[in-house]
Amino acid sequence: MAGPAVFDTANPTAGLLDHLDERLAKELALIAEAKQKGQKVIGYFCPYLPEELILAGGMLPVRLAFGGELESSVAGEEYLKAYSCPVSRSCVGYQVTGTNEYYNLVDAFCVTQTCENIKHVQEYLEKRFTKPVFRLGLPRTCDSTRSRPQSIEYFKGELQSLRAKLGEFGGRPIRDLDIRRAITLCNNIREKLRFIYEYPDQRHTLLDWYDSFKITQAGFLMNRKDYLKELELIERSIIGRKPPVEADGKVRMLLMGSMLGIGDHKIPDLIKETGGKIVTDNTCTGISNSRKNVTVFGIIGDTMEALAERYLYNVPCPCMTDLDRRLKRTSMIIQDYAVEGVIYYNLKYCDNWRTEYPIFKDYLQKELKMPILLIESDYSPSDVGTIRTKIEAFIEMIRGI
Amino acid sequence: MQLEIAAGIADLRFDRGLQTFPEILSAYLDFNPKVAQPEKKVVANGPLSPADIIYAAGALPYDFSTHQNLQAIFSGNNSLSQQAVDMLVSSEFNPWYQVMLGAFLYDQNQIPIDLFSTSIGEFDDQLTKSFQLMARARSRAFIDWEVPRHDAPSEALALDFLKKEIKQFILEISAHTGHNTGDHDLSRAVHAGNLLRGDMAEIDKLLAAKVVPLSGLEYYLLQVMLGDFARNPDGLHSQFSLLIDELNGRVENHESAPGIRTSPVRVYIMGDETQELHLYNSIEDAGGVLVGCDFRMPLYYGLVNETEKPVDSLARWVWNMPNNLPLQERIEFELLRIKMQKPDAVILSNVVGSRHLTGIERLVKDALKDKLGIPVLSIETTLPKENVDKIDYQINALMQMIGG
Amino acid sequence: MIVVGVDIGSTTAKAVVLNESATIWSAIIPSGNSPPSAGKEVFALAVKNSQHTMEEVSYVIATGYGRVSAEFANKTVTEISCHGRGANYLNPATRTIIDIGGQDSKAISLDEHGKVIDFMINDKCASGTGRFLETAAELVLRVKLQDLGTLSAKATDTPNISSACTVFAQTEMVSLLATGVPVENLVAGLHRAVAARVSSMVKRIGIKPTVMMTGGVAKNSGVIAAFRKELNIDVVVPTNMDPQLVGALGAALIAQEMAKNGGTGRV
Repeated sequence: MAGPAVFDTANPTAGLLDHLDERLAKELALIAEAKQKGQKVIGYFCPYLPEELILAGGMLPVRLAFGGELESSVAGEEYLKAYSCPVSRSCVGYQVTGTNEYYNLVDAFCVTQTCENIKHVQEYLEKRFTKPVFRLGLPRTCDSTRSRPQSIEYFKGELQSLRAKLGEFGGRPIRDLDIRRAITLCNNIREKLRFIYEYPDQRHTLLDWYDSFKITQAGFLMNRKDYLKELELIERSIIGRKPPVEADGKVRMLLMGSMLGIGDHKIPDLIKETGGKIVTDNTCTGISNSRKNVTVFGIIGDTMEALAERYLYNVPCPCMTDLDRRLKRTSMIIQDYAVEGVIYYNLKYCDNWRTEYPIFKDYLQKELKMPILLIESDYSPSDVGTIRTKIEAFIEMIRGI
Repeated sequence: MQLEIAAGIADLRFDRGLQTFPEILSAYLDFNPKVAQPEKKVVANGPLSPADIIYAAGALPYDFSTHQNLQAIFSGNNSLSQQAVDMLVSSEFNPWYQVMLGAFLYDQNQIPIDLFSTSIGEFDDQLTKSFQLMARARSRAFIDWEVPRHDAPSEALALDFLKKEIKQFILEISAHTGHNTGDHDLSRAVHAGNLLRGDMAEIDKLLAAKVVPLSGLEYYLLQVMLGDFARNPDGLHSQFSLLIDELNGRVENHESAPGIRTSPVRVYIMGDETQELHLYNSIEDAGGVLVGCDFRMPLYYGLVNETEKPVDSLARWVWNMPNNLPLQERIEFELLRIKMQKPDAVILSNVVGSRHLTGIERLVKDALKDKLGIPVLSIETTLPKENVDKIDYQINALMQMIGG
Repeated sequence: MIVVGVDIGSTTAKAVVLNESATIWSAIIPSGNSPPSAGKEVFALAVKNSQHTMEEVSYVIATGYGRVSAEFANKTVTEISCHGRGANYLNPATRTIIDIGGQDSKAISLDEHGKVIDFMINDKCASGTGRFLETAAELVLRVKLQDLGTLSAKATDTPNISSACTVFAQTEMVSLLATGVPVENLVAGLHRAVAARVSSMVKRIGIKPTVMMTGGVAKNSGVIAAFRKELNIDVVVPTNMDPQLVGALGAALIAQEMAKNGGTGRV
């Protein structure tokens, strides 16, 4: 396996993702091939679902976090109201149009109880679809020590029953040993991702966010063992390189908010075009996916409890009532990455994020004097002009003209 | 509020033949918890969370959202939703919650709330998040308790979790009231609630009859007022009993409520609660009669079992609430109720901005049509008075379709 | 040497020329169907009005919704910053700006140094825009745009036009006309509706005096009066300049700074 051959000092990350891109282009064919050999493909949406359980059952996890496609979000209106969020309309829309090959390859779905929009997706899948749908109950009141013991216990129980269902579906019971192996694999992936993003530190990373985001999202689709190899390759090729001393004068931005799906480029592109620079994100499809390992108890102790702990407390989704923790975490991210402005991305009709906007605005302005810009949008290109003006004005406001 | 001169309802037709109804309604609209029971902590409670538990813990549960909304509708105050948007609330929200937030965030009218509480489930994101927002805006405690999703194979696990949540919820409210809440208090509250739930079941039976003694508008408002029963459950139960007597009197005389024609088309409504109260008049004006609706069903669809430990029975009852059921189960459950009321048509009510059941309206509509074999009309409403012509038009078309 | 600010809006293109002693010349033309050429044209016209030549122009800044296609400009800047700068120049006490243009409306909050600290642009809806007033006046009420202010002053009552949607609002006005509501009252109602829509945005960024209104609609005294009532605060308009030119003026002022800093430095 060859990494990027020539080291380009002017652009130290040139060619870094070529190998990954090539591999990803073959993914659909590889999944189809694995299916031929009897391997099952499990599709899921929200990152509360421990992939370890799917992997431990010898199946292929695919996170169906696609977005940004107007056509599918409109097609979803055949079943969902136009005032449902574009993510949920797309989830349904891809099935209506049949144009997303990953959806087509899925053998069964896992749906976590997160928000009303996703609930409707589950209802649609159950009612209109012959493929099995496994539900996973998720406690949402995890904001304090108050409910922690019973939340973990309940979630553990739900994971246990999902494990049984997946075992049955995959044709063999899922043993603790299998889960431990899967935990090791996923922990390795998370560690590599953290290394890549933070190399050599969060402020002066070698990769720009657009590349790191792409790397993360490749991990939603790709065979996880191969993905780890790709990450190792990238890791090897960046070791020893020095990041450019930053003097590009671009405004350092944190992009936070609603799901930024694979293919949802509108806002990141506009930020780039208008002279901003995303340095990190706080969304459920981004860097947060590599946050925290499953603890060592996952390897030597109670696997299910260790999984419950990791997955319950590390996703930045406002369907949870742990608002204070998320506020603090956001403020830490802002400091760690020397953020100068926050873009709060709200997909229309994503209620949970939208309701918390005034709280975040107030908190960030009071605590950190941090400017924040709300962008409410969907997958239609019609608002590109207005959003461009908003982001440009926001940058002028932060930077001066 | 003087109902005769209330600006928001000038165009609405009420049943002037009933004695007890206006009394219950005025008392509801004029209610101010701090005046009624100044010594009690007022706990804001969502319309889909049972009030029994809060009442048992010695506090006053207050369905603040419904109360503020109906006050606004009756008084003709149509500026609250815009005021909410001025305060950074989304313009794409369900109008019920916009009005609630507008009343709370904008108007410093000493809305007397000491605590915010809500159940957290997969059924009311806008409300739970709005409560969180309001509690924060006014530095009040926000107490939540989880209702785990309904999934038959997880029953034991979920109920165990839910019981622990309810017990902690009682402890937290009690910590604020200083009340030492025991099983006895909970049983008493459940019993008081059951009496009122029984009253509503009684009224539903009257609506299932051939001659319907109660108009849709009054029926809807009774459901709403019952949801906030714990202000004074005993008093409300005696008023409801008097009302039921009045209605039974009409039944004995084969007399339907004024405004209902003979052999009317029987209509059942399900879906989102509409702010357009004109809908109820419109149905009757076009030759129909309302025989039931599911808006407040979660609160009174069945009695809480009083023979077992109250926490256990409450947990089971809450877990089985229709709004917590997955679509398939919910439809089956609702079909049983709908069939009891013998409708000729079902209206599926959608509120623009709601992400509830009607988010997946098409599946609901298909299932209803399929299982009932009667016409299903889908309507969509926004703020009051914005949909009157459209509703009249659609209801008339439905009636003509059924009447041939 | 002179600098030029060009503001290419959806209905009109404006240009302001500044010389070293801060003398101001300007030009306004309709944007027509080609904002890029309107920008070029108004630029040339303003320079001509100033009796300078194109060769004397040292720096040009384009703003407005057509700014992206202004190839003649050294730099583009958003309307937000330009209106902020222009308003601050005309009245340093300005803390809040309401700008209603042809196609959108904006609320801008300034600090005591005239720096933009918050802003809002209306998202999707046309009901708080100059275009809405224009179509309602000319197509529904059959009156001239410039007469709206005087007409509304004669209103005896202000009917409520409740629809947030421009299409429905026009239907509503048609039916009010049919019931015999006098045109001047309807104009007052129309002004209130526009002020109410835009005020919401102003409230969201926080109202601080002095409030200045800019943009073409600021020439309509009826709208100003409606804003005063809606926001319960005095609203001023630039006295020594056409309010439509504030954006172009701001662009020219920024251009002047840029020219001084060799076109690269920050302001």
